[in-house]
Amino acid sequence: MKKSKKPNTRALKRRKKFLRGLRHFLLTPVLVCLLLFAVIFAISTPFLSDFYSIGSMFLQDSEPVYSHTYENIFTPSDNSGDTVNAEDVDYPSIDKQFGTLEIDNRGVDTKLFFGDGYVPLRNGAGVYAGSFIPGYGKTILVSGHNNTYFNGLKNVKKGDIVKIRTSYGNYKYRVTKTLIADADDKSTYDLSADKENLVMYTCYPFDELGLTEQRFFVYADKISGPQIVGIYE
Amino acid sequence: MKKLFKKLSLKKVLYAVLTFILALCLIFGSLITILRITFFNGSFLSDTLNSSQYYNDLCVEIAENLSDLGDASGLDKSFFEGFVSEVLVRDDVQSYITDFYEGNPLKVNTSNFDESLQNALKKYIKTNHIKNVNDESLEYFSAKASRIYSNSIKIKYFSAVQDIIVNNTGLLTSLIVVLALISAAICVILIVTNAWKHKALRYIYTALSSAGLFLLILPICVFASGVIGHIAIMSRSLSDMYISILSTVLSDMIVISIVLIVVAVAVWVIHTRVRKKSAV
Repeated sequence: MKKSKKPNTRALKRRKKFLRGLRHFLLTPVLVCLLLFAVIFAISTPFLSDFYSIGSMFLQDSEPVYSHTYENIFTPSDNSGDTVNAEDVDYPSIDKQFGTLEIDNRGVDTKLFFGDGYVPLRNGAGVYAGSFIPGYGKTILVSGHNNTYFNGLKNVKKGDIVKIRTSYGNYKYRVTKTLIADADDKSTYDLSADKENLVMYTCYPFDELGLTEQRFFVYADKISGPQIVGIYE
Repeated sequence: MKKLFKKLSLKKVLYAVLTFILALCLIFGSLITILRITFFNGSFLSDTLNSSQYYNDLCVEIAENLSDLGDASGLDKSFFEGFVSEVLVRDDVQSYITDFYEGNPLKVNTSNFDESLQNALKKYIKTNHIKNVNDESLEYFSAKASRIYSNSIKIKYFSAVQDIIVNNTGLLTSLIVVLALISAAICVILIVTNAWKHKALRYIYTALSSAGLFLLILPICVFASGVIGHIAIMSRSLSDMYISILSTVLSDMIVISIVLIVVAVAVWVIHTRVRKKSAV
């Protein structure tokens, strides 16, 4: 019994020594590191909300997308009826193509986008995001470049029919008048109008080189197309 | 015995506090050194831009923005193709960085760009026999093109921190020296005042390894969260540049942390040898 006790004590001692060494080698640095985090966190607490605010200014939820391609949610529809349910309308987000705009025999036949930034105007005409989409019963403000997709507006006459096709319905508007106004003249359209009207505009004079300070407006009233119902339900 | 015990405990507490302060000095010293060799160093930004695709991407972006302006101004798509020279962009960005670190007003000199644009416009009007030209519209277009170019050359967000960087570079260097001296002094105190040298080395090991761990965990957490890729800048060139800078800063933190850990392990090896000798 005595003989077998000695090696056990030695092994126990060796184990204790090993554990002590391990404690000093691993555990102590980890604990001190945690303590450092705690102390630095405590010191920086008064500034954390500022850091968080600044950080959220520079960061967004997802990675930014730099693609120049756009999404097309337009699929031709045969709905030219009187109404369409709001829940059947696929509401476009910025830079998405959601329809087409056409004026027969006037050289206007273009894709219609939501928003009037670089992507829409590179590829067609764009509905100003602060206005409305067809079927809302309000003002639709559409812009395009005078040397590209809206060059044909120069040929438009009173009484011409403007066709807008979307995935939820087809619309027709009759041109009531045209107007040349200063670019910063805000009286040229009324976004709070209670009847559906289409306002298309582009830079004026047409085919002039450079950035012009006047705009050419074409006004049209709705003659047919489904009204979106149940929007506020 | 009790008095001796109390004395020993107080000494231990003092050594623990010194170890903690040493770890803090090492952490802050490392962080300030990283700041000094990155954001507070003009050549760091130039080198980062040179080694990345920044100039190439920036040229493409400027050309796209000018092309949109051209669309709105009746110019053919081909007008701005190859118009923006990478050499010109590089020179203008470099002089912007120089002005930034010298504390000069941050203005982009667009005279070369303006001159090339006027020449190109004259040539375009002549070759295409364009008669519908209005000087005012053309002037408005040129001014806008110049503004697009100038805004693209400017490194966004940097102007906001120019004063901080220019006025505090010297302070940062002094802080590094002070923290290095404090760290050295603490090491000396630990070694000189400790009867058991291996114990002093163990305290130094603890400070080095915990500081190393601290500096290792932070960048790993940031990299793992993927937050760097979410910088809200709608310019690919700028976003890539900021990602590149932040990645370098975090990589530097990892390198420093590894150096600290390696030194700590070396100190541990010495500590075990010294302890064995003491035991003998």
